[in-house]
Amino acid sequence: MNLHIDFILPSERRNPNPVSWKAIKLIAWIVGLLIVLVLVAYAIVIFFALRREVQVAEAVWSDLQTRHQEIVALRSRVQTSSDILTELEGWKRSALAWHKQLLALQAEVAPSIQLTSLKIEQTTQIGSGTAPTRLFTVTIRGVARGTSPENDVQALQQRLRDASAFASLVRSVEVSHFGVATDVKEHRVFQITCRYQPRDFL
Amino acid sequence: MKAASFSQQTTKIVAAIALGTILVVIGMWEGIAQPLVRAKRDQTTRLHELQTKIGQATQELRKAVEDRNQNTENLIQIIDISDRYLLHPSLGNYLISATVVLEKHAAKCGVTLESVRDAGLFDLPASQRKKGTVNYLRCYTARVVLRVGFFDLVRLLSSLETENPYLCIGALSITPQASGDVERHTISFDVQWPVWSDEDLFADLERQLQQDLTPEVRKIEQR
Repeated sequence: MNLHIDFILPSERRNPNPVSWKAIKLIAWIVGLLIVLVLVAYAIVIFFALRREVQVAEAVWSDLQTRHQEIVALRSRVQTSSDILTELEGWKRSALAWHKQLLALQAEVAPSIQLTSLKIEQTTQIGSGTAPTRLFTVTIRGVARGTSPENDVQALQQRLRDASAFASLVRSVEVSHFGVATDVKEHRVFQITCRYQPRDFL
Repeated sequence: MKAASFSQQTTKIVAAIALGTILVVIGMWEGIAQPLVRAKRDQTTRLHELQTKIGQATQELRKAVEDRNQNTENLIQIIDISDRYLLHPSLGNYLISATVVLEKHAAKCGVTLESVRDAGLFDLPASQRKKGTVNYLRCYTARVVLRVGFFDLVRLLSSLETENPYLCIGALSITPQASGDVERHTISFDVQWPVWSDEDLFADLERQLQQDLTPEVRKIEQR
């Protein structure tokens, strides 16, 4: 008869396996905890690196901001100086060389026509392009003494429309008055009104 | 019996440890991880914002050199035009300056001016292209009366208009003399000059140009 008495409890028995579940669980807990700690540490390091980067960027921006304000002011000055130049050029562009117009007019007047007065008038107003504009009107009065005064006056009207000195500048030429001269019945007094194209300042 | 109670106690301890661990993990998540994630997100947004602004500002700095050169060129041109072609008041009076110019040209053409009078200072209608546009220039008009022949008048106008392309004859009247002299006519004409709406603005532009041309300022801008 064999009698087997266990003096060691089953829980006290040595495990023949070198790796026990208990050890695995313990190692797993430790490794898990270490992983969590490493991740947390990594996150904290990343955060502080990011914060440092933000601080550096803020310092750079603060320096640039002062210069940025100067640049904004400079840009405003450039705009102002460009606007002034544009306005000055507008004055030049809107002016008309009247000495050339008068010489050209004199060249177009036939010998049978005697001019008695010449008036140039100017008004300034806002034009169709919403910019200020010069509007010139020339009023010529004269006496046509030739054999065919109507033709002479019409020819003058036509030349004031078509001659190269006037064609691009004059908008309309009208004979606004045509009548018998008071001194000689064969002569005719006339008035021609030339309206010039608007000349924009801008 | 003893083994059974030992096993129950072990289970309780393990359960307590497990619960404690879970609570610690939750605490770490809520107390450390979440705020860290939020703070990181905020910092990333802020960094992105700053990098965009820095990028724009750096581009603008590069353009600033071109802008300054453009401004300097504009100012040089404006001051040159102003000195040569705009009328400036003499002792607060434009008529004196206008008379000097007109007499100079009359003498050059061999004509005599009967009178030079003040015909007014007026503003051009403001452009309506841009809201709030102001005019930097106004118009000064001087009225001239003389008795000369047609060709003498043309020579005088030619002299005035050729020397100053910014000047404009605003009105002109040629009428025969009552005496019947056909060689000379009664002539009246208005001469219009551009003048500064604000002479202080012109002084300010000159100062700006002096500043822009200072070598020290150029060095600072290039840094």
